[in-house]
Amino acid sequence: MKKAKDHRVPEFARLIFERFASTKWHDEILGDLEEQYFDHLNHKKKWHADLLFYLEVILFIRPHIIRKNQKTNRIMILDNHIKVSFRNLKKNKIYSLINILGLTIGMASCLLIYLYVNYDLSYDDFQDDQVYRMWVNRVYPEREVSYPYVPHSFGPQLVKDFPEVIGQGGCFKPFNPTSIKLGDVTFLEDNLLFADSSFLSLLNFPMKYGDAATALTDPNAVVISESTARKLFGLEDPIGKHIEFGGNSKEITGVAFDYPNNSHFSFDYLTSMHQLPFFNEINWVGFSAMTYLKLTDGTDPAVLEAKLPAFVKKYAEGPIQKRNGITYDEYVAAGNGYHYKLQPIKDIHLYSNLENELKANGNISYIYIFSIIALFILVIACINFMNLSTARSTERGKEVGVRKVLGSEKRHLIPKGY
Amino acid sequence: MENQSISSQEEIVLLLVGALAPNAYAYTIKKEMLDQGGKNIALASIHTILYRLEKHNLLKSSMGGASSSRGGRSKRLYQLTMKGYKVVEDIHSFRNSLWGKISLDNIFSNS
Repeated sequence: MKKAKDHRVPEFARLIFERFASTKWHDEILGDLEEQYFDHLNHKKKWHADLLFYLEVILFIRPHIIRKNQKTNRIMILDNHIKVSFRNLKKNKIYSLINILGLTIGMASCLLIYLYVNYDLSYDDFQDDQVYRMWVNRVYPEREVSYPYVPHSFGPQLVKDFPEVIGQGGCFKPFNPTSIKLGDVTFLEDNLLFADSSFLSLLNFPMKYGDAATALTDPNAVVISESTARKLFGLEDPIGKHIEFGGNSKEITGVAFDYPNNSHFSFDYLTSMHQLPFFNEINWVGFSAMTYLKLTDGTDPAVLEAKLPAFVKKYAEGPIQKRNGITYDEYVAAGNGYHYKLQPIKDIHLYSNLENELKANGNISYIYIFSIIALFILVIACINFMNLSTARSTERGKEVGVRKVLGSEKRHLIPKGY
Repeated sequence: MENQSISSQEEIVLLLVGALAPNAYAYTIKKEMLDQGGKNIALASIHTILYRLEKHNLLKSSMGGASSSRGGRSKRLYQLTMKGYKVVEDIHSFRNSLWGKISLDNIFSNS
């Protein structure tokens, strides 16, 4: 037999084998492997023989060959512990049921509360950080009210007057449902918004069809949501089709993807607010539009907020004097006031508490309360579980005794709680 | 236990140990299986079969001489025990008696 003297068995594979195999097998098995390897070398390429060698070594990982040491011994003891645990559960069925069910229900309610809290916290978190909504705290001599609506001329004028305001968008929700007619079918819809032309692009509405920047420039345009498009037109592209919107024919200029549910607004129909004559007039005093402002990066909204009173006085002074017959200063002195504020769009759901919101808002205190409750439930469930377990542990003393007699080490018993 | 049941692979290994005596060890058995039967079985499988058969007292083993082709390592040589011999002999005679009852005329007749 020709022998390849310059070759030795793959060292790494041999080391692997010597590591996992019990030493009593080393000689004979390595001998067999080596003999086969050199036989292979006579009529196979070296890499092939190497590969076969590795393969054979791996196939030798079998229970009777693996070395028994402290580590494998511990695994076997664990096996026995699991077996004994199951026997104990079976022995005390009622007790096990109460114990496990208690912990399960505790953990399940904790998880459910976590889901709720997490969902509420996720409201509007996909929105742009630099987008703020204006709101007003209107003070009357005898009461005060807070609205998310401000006069609709504010938005465009703020963009003109302040360089840090780089975009604005306005919308409002009508009080009454509107009838939408397509052919002979009439729907009574109430999830609709009137918006100005920059509203869609300011809030990054993802569009399925049409262009967000130009979809609402025509006063007779209407943008519908994807699910509404499916309801009205099936799967076809509805761009350019007409629907009758409260008696006027309107052209569909865009289809927006359904807005996520965890957002402070939603709409099925979005149409131009400029079809209403009122919104084409200058207005500094009537609360008419929700106004969203986009500020430049790094602008502190508080700084802009501080500039607002002067801005309001400058533009609202005339109309107020005209309407009430007294000067703005006299009007304020009589106990009236317009306090315009900004709120980050992400905080609307949890932190804002205004009248006439688009959707029901959440409340940050509920989030805190629920989180604390969840934590308590979990802690109580754990303590309950622990108590029940320790109360029963004395009954398992015999088992521990037997284990100790049979040579269990202390550290093997600790995981069981002794 | 006289009629110990074994698998066909175990039976072949037992027969090969008998045939290769006194030079029967894992690698020669594997080679013989490949050469005679065309079956390529992993050394580990043969080793396991040998181990099991020895545990059932069908084989006995002794450590044999080393040779340079195996890096100077000794080998475990296997031998049939009386019990092992009995088992293969039983199988053999059982099969022979079955073969005696087979007649080609009956198998292929168009009755």
